[in-house]
Amino acid sequence: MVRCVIMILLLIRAVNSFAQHIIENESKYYKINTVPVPDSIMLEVGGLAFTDDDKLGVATRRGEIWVIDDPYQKKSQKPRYSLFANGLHEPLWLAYKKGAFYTTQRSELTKMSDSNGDGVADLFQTIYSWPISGNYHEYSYGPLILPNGEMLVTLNLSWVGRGESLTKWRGWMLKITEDGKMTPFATGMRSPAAFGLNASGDVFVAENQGDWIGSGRITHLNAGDFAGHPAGLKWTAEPGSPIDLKRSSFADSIGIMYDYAQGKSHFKVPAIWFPHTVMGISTSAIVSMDSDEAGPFKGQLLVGDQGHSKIMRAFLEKVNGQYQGACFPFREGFASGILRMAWGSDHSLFVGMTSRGWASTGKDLFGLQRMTFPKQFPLEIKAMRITTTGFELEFTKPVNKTIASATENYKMTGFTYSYRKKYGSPVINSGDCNVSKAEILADGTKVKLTVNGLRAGYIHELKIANVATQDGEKLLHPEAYYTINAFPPGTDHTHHDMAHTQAATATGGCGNDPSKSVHEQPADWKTEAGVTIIMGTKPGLKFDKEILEVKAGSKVKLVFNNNDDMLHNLVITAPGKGEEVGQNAMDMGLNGTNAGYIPDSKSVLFHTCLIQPETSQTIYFTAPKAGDYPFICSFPGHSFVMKGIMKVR
Amino acid sequence: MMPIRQLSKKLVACVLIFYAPLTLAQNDSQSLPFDTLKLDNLDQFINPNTKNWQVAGNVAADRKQIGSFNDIKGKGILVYKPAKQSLPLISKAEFGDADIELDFLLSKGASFEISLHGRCNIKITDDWMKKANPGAKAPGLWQHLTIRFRAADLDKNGKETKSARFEKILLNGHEFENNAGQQAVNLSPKTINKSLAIIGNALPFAVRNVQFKTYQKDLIHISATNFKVYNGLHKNPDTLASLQPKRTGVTDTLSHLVGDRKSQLLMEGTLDIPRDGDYLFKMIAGGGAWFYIDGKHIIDNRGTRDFERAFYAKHTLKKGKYPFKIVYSNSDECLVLHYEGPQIPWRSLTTPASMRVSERFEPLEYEVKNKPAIQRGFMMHRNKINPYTASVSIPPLASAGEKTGNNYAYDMKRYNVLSAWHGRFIDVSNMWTERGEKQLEIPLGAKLELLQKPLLAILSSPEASWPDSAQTAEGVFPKRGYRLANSGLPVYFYTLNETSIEDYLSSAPQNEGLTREVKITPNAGKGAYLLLAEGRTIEQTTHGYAVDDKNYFIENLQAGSVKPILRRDNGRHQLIIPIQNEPLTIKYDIIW
Repeated sequence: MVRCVIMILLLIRAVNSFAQHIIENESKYYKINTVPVPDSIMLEVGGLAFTDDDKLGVATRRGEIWVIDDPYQKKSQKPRYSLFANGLHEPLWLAYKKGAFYTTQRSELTKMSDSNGDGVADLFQTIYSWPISGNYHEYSYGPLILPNGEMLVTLNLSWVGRGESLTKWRGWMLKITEDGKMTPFATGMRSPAAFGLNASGDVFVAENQGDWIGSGRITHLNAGDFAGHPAGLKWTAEPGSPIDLKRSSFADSIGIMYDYAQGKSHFKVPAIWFPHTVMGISTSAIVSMDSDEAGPFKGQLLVGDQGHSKIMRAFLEKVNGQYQGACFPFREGFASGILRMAWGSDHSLFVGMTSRGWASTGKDLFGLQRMTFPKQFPLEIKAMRITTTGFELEFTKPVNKTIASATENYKMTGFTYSYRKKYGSPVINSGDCNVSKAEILADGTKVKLTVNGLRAGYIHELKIANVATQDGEKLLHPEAYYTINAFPPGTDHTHHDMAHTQAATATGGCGNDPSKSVHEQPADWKTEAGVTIIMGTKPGLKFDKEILEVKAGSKVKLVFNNNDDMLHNLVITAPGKGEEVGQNAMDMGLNGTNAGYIPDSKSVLFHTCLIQPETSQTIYFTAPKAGDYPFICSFPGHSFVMKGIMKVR
Repeated sequence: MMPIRQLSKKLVACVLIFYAPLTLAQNDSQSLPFDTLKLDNLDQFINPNTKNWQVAGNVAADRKQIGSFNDIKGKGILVYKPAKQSLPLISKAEFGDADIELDFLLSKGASFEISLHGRCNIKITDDWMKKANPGAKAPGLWQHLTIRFRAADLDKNGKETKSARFEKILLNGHEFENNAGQQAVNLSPKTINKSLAIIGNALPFAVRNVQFKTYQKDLIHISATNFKVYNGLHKNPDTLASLQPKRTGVTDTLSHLVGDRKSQLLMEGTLDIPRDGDYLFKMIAGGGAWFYIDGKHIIDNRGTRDFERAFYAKHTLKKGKYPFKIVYSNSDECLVLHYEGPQIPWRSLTTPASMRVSERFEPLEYEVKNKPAIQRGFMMHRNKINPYTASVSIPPLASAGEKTGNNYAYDMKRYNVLSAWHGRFIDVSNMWTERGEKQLEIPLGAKLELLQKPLLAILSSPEASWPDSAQTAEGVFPKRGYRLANSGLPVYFYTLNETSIEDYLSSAPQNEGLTREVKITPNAGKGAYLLLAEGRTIEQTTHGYAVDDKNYFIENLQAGSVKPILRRDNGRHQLIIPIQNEPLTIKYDIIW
């Protein structure tokens, strides 16, 4: 028994240090420098854009535009900030074109110019506007300036217990010309905070988990495309709408998105899924690595994550004319929640952050950091391409052929998500694939895997063990997540005939010890609960009570009401173990989704399941002996702020 | 001059206690009618001195001339004129706990006091543009006073346990700083006089619309209340008849906590109505809620889950016991039932814990120093969100001395001034704290609400009705925006049918309000007009116009050779300017 506890403690330490280990290894290659912010400035970054003379413009959530001279700190450790404009309504983007800054406020696309050259904006022109209802979730983003000067903006859905389009073009991407001509471009978006162009100039939009959105993802959009959330379809009858799908044709739960999209023109499935909590929880910025400084990754995308304060990498390829590809971890450990990224002239990456209202693993309320690329890159999976028989992996360096040709070093699992009105999705239809062959190609930088059991519409998790260079340098990130939407011509179809309509292997589990989550009053309680605690949530990832007081041994009925617009649980831990349990939940990876993020740990005493927005669950337990017992929401990333103490007296 | 005597220290207790809301989250948009003090004559007052108290049909005061005051014969307005022997005017009506509202209009420099029970006084002085009471308006304008008065608390033996006091005083909707001294009216000192007295001083003023509600102590009581809890949520309360409850019992309080979330709660018991009369019920609930008295449906919330939205229903009841029933479909844990009755102020039938309170944040003032400020956000306008608001603060001119700054809100959709206020700028706590879900800018002053209509319109004739928004397909003006003038203040610009406008607001001379300058470059022959003002009445004054029943002034109107038109549009008075074919600059002051 004691040994068991020690084993678990050791395991937890190992897991913790593993996370730390990753950041240490990443930091050997990708340096992060913090750009100092004067004390008087709340630089809650909403947008970043460089001017023609290499100054960095920063839009803040408080409506200011700051211009930073020498953000590279070449001339001075303390770069100079000057206020270019203020008074804007929560600008969540910044762009620069021909001497002027552009941003979106809640209800309009605005151009800001300095017509007398004194460094301060004196002309604010409304290029185009749209109606808003006053709902807080009606954020607007953009403009992304296209090479021809046209601009793209996206409009969040309103939140009314679910995503809805309360006013025209909410849930859409719009194309707007400099003289204010608007064309509805695409819809099916829920919270399209991030979008960008890849090296070929194609448009990708990022989404976060929500209703109809099982997990984070990026989707390629052409004019007239539909990206999956049906609320925006409300406006497809309007003049100018390029889409003829009908809102009413969507049932509340429709199996798998990929299946439903078959045969429907312009119904775009994600090019790459970013599995929830494993590859972030809130994709937030897309930039393309177009310079030589990106080394082996030139031509690929970087995707930021707000909640996990990290950057991920995406490799795209076209199969049968459509994009698909893989995502990989890249760099963790930023100071706050990443919302925006912008390339400096020296091809370093500026990262703008804010965590107000949406907590992040980086603890700062806001910040600006700069990531530089190395001359010597680590051993990474540079690219992952689908073949007619499986996958071809390309590494950044030649690998040890003996290790890399051993099939037992490759593990692959396929899974997908539900397409439904409910918030988020468990991992469903999980199934192992068999890697039957690993052939080394050419100089040892490529390995060709023969894999059985691949499925279209599925994400394929690849975990690699032991692979290293001849010198023993290990893979920095030995995992990848490839989304298959299509197989190349000539594919041997026997390897992907596994039914993807098999029953879900799990449906949003709730830990593995039901005695910690008792949902009916225990039969052996002779009387009703002695204490009833009603716990709710507040916006900004908070429980509505931070202190609970109960008597030792009392019978407690705890009613947890999730009033928020995200998934939450309530986990009571052993004294002093709140942080640890939060970290354990974070480290559960894909398994976490189906265990409701309840770690299998002695430190977890009592818990609710992970429950949907606007739902409630009651648990019953007997208060333990006197002490201070932390309670947290163990959904990855929430426990840093969503926590409190149950004082047992 | 006046029969006033020093009063005991008791008066010191008549301090302002900030109104602690009775679990009320918002102001009530409906209430039972007030009693009105009839001002057809002076019959409502005890031995009025008709030398200095009269009634009139209309009054006017030149805001620039000390003591200047004119009245026109008629009734409805109480007028005070100083006389050799000025005496207080004492109501026959008696007040206990009471809500009192009235309008007053001062001549320049005038002051007066309102005294309740001969002990608690409110001193109104001409505080216009002073830092003490930034809610004060200019002399010659009607101002509004809101008073919540609590009579002294007495024990069984009639001994005072708590002095009489004001729980709330608002001047034009803004917190009032009361500087009444320790003085009381010399009434009958042996008895506690329960009247309201108005005490004039050296200069004339007028009072009207004296309305009040006085309250007794007895309330509605509930008793013998049983409850049943049913699984699930049901949109029709009658469904419950066919279902088995999962739990039943007796409750002594009304609250959603008697039931469970995502369950249906039924509470049935007896209401003891203390007095005959009209009762106004208010329901706020997250999820369907229904209230019945004596088997009759009284009120429901139409199944809404908006737990900030109130539903009202009036019902006449006789004193006595009635069965009642409440059904609640608990989606969001909020079940609130309030009532107001004959001589009963707003009270709650449900417990405080049964209300779900929206998150409140620490105040966060947008402080304005020497430079103008502009901030876009949402703002409440006539009880609705206007999500297109730009608030602008103009700091006081250096020459203004003790005077306050001016602020206005501009509608960035209709391109017109929405509202204006003296004093501090805005609170932004619910924009810049956490997610900022409400995004509301809250003016830190007494807001003068103006129009939510465009300044510029094309009319087919001078009689045509004024549109509510820009006359374009999208309802917005093309080529719009603002530039910042050297002053740092915005100049708004836009076009309509090629007629282009520039609109600039700055502080009026002496900081007394706003000066507006509108430059029009017309497109020949398009029938363009500007809407300068709209209101219940627009009256001409020595300096210009008194708008909306003397709510504010328009003064120093300069419109070249163009003559403004006073007209009516849907029963409202409007002041409009026809645009000719020549470029024109129009300038006027908005004074309040």
